[in-house]
Amino acid sequence: MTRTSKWTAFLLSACVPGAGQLAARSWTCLGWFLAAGLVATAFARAGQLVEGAGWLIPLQIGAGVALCLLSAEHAKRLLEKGYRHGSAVVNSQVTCAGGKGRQVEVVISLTVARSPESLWNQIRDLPRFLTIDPFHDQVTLMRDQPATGVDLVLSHNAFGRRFVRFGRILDWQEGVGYTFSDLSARGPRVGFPHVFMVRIEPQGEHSELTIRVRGRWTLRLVPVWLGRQWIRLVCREHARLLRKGL
Amino acid sequence: MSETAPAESKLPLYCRRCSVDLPPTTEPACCLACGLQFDPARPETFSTHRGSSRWKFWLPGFLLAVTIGTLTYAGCLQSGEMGWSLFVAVPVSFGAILGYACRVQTWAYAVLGILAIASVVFALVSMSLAGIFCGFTLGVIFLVPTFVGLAFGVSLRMLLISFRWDHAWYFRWYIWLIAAAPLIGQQIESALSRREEIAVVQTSLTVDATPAEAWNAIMFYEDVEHSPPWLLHLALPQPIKSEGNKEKEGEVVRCFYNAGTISKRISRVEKHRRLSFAVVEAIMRSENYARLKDGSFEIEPVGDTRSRITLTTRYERKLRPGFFWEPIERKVIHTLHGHVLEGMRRKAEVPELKEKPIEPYHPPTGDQPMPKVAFHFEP
Repeated sequence: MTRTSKWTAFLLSACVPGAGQLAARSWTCLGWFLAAGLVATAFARAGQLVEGAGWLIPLQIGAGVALCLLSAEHAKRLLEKGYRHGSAVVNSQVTCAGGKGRQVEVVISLTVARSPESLWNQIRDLPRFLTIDPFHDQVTLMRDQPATGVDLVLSHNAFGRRFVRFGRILDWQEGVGYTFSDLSARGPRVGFPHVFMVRIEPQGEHSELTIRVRGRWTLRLVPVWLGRQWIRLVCREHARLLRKGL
Repeated sequence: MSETAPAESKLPLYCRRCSVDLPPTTEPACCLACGLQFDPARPETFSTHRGSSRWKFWLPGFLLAVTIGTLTYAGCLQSGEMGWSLFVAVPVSFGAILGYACRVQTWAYAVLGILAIASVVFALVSMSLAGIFCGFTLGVIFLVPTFVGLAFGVSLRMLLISFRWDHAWYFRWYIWLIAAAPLIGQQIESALSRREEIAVVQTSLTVDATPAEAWNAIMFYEDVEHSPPWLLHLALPQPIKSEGNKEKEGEVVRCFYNAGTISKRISRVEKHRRLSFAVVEAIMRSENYARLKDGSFEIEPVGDTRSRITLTTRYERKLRPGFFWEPIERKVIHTLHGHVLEGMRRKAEVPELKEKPIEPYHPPTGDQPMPKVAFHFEP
């Protein structure tokens, strides 16, 4: 049986609280089913007690949406990859470096309790390291070994919608870091074209891992400031996953 | 995907980005059209089918699900029984076929599920098997069962794959069993005796008029002059007129609608206090959903100048399962009573304005006192 995707669980629980947990084979589904049943019963009872109250329907919708989202996020986290016993990440920080015009730049900084050599061995495994990302599902190197100029196929899964983007390793410095692009299949000027710059620097006994995401917000319907906030939110999620996965 | 090197198996290779044919080679190379690299020795670096052929993974299954959904609904409707088979088994069945026969991503299942419901409802409305209001209601009611069926269909397919069965769905008997399940269920449901469920709906309104003025204002739905709310426009046949004397005991009043007639016998008249009627004949399709049996208007004095009018109607409930339909029936009947009582209030409170133009009707909102409705069942 194939492993359930975290986004499948997310969507299942967003529709029926507890369904994603059931797909993740977690006993917590019982708690969510119970909570959903209690909320539905409470609102049915409230509907009888205060019939016709104008505030009840917005309250019902709000509580229902909140319960579904909480359950969906919990189901997603149940299926995230990560080490069970502790994390090597000591400290993490996400900063929005701004950018002119439609440019977006966000920096994720992590202090990792590992030597630079040990950390480099971990992050040079691109198919594994690059999938510690909220939306990267699978990463395929088009050559046997990573090097400058090697193409990448980045399979994404965002909220259950799978799509493929393409990139290339633009710079590879053994033991120091690398840079790669992440572009839409429709072309390099649409669909938030961006690059990831991954660097390791020694910091005493620890290592400083910096991931700089620099791109261009191309979606005209959504203002740039909102786009920056969205990318920042995604990077915070990325940092959380890195804390879990390193 | 095949684990053997496709270059050896002579399969055509396609670029993962632009889907064009890749040049025959045994060494790592690049797509001649877009420049994306590939390695014939590594299957994950190229594709073995063109991207444009993806419709094969969902369109046949989608069309099959919509066709079976429409046909089984029409088949179940012929028996006249409107219950679990029609409203639950049919959507579970076509949802299961959709989930089993389509191989798409999770989000696409959600989209296909909603599209299938919309398509089935559209087909039913087009074939005059449901009205617009019923179609919209069906769409909402079908949501949960369809997605339950969809999950079942997907699980069944995954289970069969894990058992290494050949899941060529179009040859398998269980697909046809799923398709026939609503019709089998309908036969069982028709064979079982069912309890008659009577809903009694009571609505009261206090008007600034004496009991005599209120009595003179008594009217049926067909007599109300102001425009009905949109819900009644959509859910009920449009009234045209009524014929007969409502104040004479034993008199039969015939009410005409755009979709049939209802004949009501005036069964009891207590002047200025009570008027009861019983339905003696109804020739209308809406009678399949809820059959009006009888009703009454009761007028009680409130102080010297006010009266409370209580409109009571009894219906035989036809739609199952009850918990699905009760809120909808409650809403429609509540709105109907409110409309009739509002017409009576207008006539009773300002009788001298009867000949003058009537101001536009605004349905009661949460800010205004709504008539109370008692909705209970008699065994």
